[in-house]
Amino acid sequence: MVYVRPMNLPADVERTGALCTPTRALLWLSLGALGLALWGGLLSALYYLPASYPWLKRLGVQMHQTHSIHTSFAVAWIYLAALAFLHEIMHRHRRFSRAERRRITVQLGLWTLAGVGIAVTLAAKIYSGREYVEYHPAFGVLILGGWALFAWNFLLRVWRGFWSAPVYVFMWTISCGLFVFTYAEQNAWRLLPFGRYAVADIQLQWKSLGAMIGSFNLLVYGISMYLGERISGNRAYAQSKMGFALFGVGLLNSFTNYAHHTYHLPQSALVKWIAFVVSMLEVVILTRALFDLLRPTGCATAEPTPTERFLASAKWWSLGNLVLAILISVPPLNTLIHGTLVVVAHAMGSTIGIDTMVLFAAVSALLPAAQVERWLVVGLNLSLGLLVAALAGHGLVKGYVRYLGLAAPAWQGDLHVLFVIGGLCSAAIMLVLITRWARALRARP
Amino acid sequence: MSPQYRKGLLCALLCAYAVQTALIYTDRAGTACGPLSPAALAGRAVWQQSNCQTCHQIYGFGGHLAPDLTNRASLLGPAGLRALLASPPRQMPLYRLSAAEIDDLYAFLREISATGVSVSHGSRLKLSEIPWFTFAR
Repeated sequence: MVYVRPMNLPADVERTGALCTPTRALLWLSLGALGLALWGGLLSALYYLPASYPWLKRLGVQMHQTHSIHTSFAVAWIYLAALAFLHEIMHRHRRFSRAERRRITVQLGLWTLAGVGIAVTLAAKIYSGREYVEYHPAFGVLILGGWALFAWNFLLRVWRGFWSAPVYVFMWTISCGLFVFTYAEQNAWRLLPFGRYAVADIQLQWKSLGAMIGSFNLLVYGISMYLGERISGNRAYAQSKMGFALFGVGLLNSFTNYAHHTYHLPQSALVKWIAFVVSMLEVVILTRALFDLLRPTGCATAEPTPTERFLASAKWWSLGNLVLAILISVPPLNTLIHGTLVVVAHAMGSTIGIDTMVLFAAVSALLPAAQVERWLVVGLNLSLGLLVAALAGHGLVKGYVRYLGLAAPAWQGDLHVLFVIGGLCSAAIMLVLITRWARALRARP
Repeated sequence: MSPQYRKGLLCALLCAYAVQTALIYTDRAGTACGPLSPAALAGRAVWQQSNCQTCHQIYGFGGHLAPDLTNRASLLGPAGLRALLASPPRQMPLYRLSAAEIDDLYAFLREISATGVSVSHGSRLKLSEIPWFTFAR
């Protein structure tokens, strides 16, 4: 892969001087969230090994604590890092007014309170018991409150000239609304009558989860397009019909694609067919992605920057995860792998391979002084590859023996060891990155 | 792309979301089995407070450390569930639930079992059961 030397972003950062305070605060919060997510994930992974779970149990560390912390703070990392980048863009667009700064202060206060509260209550085994939103719903009020303040600041800036804005502004705007709606919907089961129906409750839970994931994906894809635009110098793509068409297909998938996880619920066939047909539209995105990846991008004049390396990694992970998502959406294959670790491979491959890689690119762009060597990026990709492959392998074996009606083979458990090794190595590299970025953040005015 | 096309695209996408939302909220299949009984609702609260879904699954949703419990109620029975909770195997933690809570939890699992069969239930899948071009399950 050849790279074009980035023209704007690092130079912009140096020319415009210090990072704004909201960006710095959000970066600290996001790095803290990532650290907690890594810690929770590592302990959860160790629970899969017969050698390690007995002493974890003796220490009083339970899977339901560590896993909840991992998923909650992994989602928090994605949102906080994305918003750190967005706040810097907003600041460069126009300095924050006094009213905006007041709103941001309250927003950050609410989220810090929520974050500390969630960490403490999950460790104290106080749960909502809902998948991916496992903390007490009171913290959801704080999170939504902070989000409303961010949306207020953001929408006030974009509404003028919105219909002529680049496609990534559309993505960020829709993300604002989607988050509010789906977050509210995730708690709707407490108030609405269908919450008393087991299957309807699961249907709605997955609908709202799928759209919430769509909401943070929109933030990340918009950032990826923004960075790509800055690196390539091509501002026409974000205004083009192709850019908007891909945005449309992607958003439609966010709305409906969750249903490829719910094929096996007793629910309307129409919902399943919509999910299947829209999922197959992702082949369009896949084709375009292949075209973009294989197209030569010009002469290399210098060593790629960390931003470019992370973005390139995200592109390849997007390709791989797209293939996996399309395969998962095919009903016979879905039947085999439903409820297996293939689903976790899909989730980890997307949240780490795509979302986190793009956010690492964004953080690298904000903190260019932090050293991020090539071996870190390569090592992260390889260890993540091992993690995802081990999870997918385990799931495929489970699905296959289920189809044959056999007992699981003895060596299937060995795949847990591989996934723990992959997880450990990925976490170690990410901890190195966190440390370097924290140092750069402290040093940077 | 002109502003008119963008408005049209956004409207179409939002309409699609509205239609999808309406389909889910009005889906009769989701409510065909009737509401959970008060005991089962109390049992669901126990399930959620204990965060069982971190390790166990219902309809294949949840964790991957422990079995899918969608159709396990009849296999376990109330006494089996009590014994399991009192003496948890392997990675399962010890839950100090009262007798009433265990009965409610059992009621929840029993009523979940009546809603359908999970594909993750572990018994052999027949080729004829795999939906090739239909969503028969």
